[in-house]
Amino acid sequence: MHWIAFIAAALALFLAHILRAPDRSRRVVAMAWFLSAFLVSTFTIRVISERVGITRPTEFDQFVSHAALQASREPDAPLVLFVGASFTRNAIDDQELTRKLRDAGYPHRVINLSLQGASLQERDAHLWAFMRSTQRAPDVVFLEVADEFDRDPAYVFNVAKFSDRAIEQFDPDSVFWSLKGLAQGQCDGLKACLTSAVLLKAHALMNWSNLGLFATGKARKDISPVPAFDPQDHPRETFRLNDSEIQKNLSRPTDIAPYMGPAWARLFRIDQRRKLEAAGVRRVAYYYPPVIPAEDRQYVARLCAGELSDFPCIAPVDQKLLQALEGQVWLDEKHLLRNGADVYTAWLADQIERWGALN
Amino acid sequence: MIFTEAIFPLFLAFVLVVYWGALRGSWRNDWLLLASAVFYAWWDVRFLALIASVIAISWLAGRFMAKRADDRSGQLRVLWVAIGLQLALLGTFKYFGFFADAAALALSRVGIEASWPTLNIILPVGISFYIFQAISYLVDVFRKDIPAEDNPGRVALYIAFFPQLVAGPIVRAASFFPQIDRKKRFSGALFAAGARAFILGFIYKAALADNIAPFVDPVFADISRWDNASLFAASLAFGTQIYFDFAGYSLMAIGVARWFGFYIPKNFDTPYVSTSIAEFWRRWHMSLSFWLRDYLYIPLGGNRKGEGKTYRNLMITMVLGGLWHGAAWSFVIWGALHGAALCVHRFLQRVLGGGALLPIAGGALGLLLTLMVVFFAWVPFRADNLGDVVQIWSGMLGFRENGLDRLSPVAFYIPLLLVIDSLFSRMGRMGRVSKHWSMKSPSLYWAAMGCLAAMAFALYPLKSAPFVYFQF
Repeated sequence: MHWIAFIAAALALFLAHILRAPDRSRRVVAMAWFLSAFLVSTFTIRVISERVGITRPTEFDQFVSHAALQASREPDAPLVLFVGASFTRNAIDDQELTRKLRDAGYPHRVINLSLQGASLQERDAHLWAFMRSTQRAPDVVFLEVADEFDRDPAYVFNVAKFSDRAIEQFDPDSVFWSLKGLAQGQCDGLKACLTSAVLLKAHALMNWSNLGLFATGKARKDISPVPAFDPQDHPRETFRLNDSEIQKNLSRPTDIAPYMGPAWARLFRIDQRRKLEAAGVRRVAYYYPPVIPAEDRQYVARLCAGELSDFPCIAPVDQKLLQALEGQVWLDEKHLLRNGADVYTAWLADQIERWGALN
Repeated sequence: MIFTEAIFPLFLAFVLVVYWGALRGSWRNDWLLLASAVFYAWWDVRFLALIASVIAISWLAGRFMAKRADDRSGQLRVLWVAIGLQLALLGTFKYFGFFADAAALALSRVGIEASWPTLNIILPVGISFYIFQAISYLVDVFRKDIPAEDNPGRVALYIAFFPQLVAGPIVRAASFFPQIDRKKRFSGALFAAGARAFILGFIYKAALADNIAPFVDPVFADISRWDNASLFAASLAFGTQIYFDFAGYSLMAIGVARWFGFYIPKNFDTPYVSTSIAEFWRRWHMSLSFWLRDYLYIPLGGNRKGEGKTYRNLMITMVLGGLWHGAAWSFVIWGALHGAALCVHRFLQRVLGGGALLPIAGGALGLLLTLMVVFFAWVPFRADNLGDVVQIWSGMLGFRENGLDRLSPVAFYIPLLLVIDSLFSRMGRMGRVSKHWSMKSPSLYWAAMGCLAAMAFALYPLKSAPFVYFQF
């Protein structure tokens, strides 16, 4: 319970006790006054929360807090942010990548800012939260692209319905993009579209009415920092592929016909780039960590050849990389173990240099 | 379904719209009964069979008594059989395990190892409340305070009325039945009165009690970790939590009932400003304490059969009142502590006399002593076992070695909410203030309600805890 919540509770008690129901009320007038006061109070609560830095604490906030701490330790080093989902959390060792880039002569500080299951909108929101807390624009932002997040504009409902995390992310901007995607049919059938649309509206209402904001809210400065990079040493129990199956999947050829991506995701990325560049980010680049399913790698390779062809875009289709990842380096089909992350991080450093993404 | 769950506003809105918009006369009562059945079945549809049995026993016994209008002894037999059946249901579903364990322990003390099959029975929600209401109906019919009902639906609505079905307030038949027949009209004033009670209750429960619980639960879950100051703070915080939790539920029940045109009397009246333990029980869970007074204490003889028997009656009433809360020794101890405190209070009153008592029971000292007893007694009410009770009491008195952890500083300020609540509650009763504020200006009233609703939303914890009194 934040002290603001304590004061709000006391104020609510005051109001609730002091009021006496009037003998007569005209329904329309009563409703109009009620709604107006509700909206004004809700807006005021939101403004106060923003001012004192109260947020619904999620894991992502802990990573932002850690990232901001790292950035503050090296105020002069240009920042490179990798913003993605669980693929990135397990695959990019930001400390190691910083070291490798510095060995190659770049002064940059790399920070992994990723969260498992984070939708495009959720990543964007936290990227901005990072920029607000550090008052700095990163030099380069690497944005993860992946089929499953492009395909589902309401991805969070797959992992965290009615949680602080899901409610937090549906600000008006995020709702706009999700609705756009759903309207374009980016879901598995009519039933899924309708379910997502209903859930979206419910979460948006919860967000806009500040539901639970004071109850579970925490001051951003009190959120304990946790690094996003999450190295794993043992495969998941459910992961059953043996070496030959892994090799077979990794060696499947990739068809790289240019592809423009789903319209909502493409427009989202255009808007995101425009805003980031306006905020001072020098360059936006794209990437996707390696995964075993060939079609997922192919999706990103096709995007790199199509929609994202004007930007540095690093798809994991290099046969040398994939050969190096044959064997016991997988947490599961789509996530790397620590030794896999070492391989990928080293390869990524080479690619960044080759692409000249930091120049 | 609980009042703070997301599904409840949808359910309530649907029931209200049909009730006021589409139905007239007795159809409204039938609709309310149907809604109550759905509300109760939401937990477990099997519970319906149990409550139907309670209703059937009450209605049939009422009819039998009505038919034997001139045969008082026959009526008394019917009354005892009906009450016995109701208590048998309560005993089976709530107390079987407790008494079986107690009996096994007692037998093992004399060298007999008893073992009998344990019934694995779910405790039906609200059983203690609606069985007490059913008993109230039976006794009132026997005493001829109310006529026996011909229509079983009316008895069913009285026992199963969903706003107060699962956690009270316990409503008397004599006050409820006339309301079933009364012609009801929807009005802004009725809605406003219900809204005020409901929102105040929602703030009590969701904004206060549920936000206090995270300070209390970890301490009572593992006593050994915490230092004595934290045990003290958590005990005070629990006393605060349970008040806001239960008073909140009661207010919401009152508000919902108002929306249907029913009046349910209040259940709490700022109990923590009581200057004696007797006054506390006139302000805390009033519907239960008045029920126990009218249907147990007075029939036992009350204070009419000498001082010694008065103490005995007080102890019996309070111990059974404790046991009513749950099948555990900790509730028995809680009831016994309150019974003993009531006896001491009565003894002092007798010895010192009314006038001389004032400095003790009428002022700040009385308030302090009452709060000490009440908060001390909350410990067994909340603790998981008697070992924890002893540890916490030792810690509160400073006789226990300190644990390493300490609660966050906010926990130590939680009881302040009780002070604030009592203060504002007093202020709210000052006629001039309330008239000035809201009664003369409906617009201002509804604007303030909008503001309150916005704060209640912000303070609503997403994971709402069940009401503490649901387990009873």
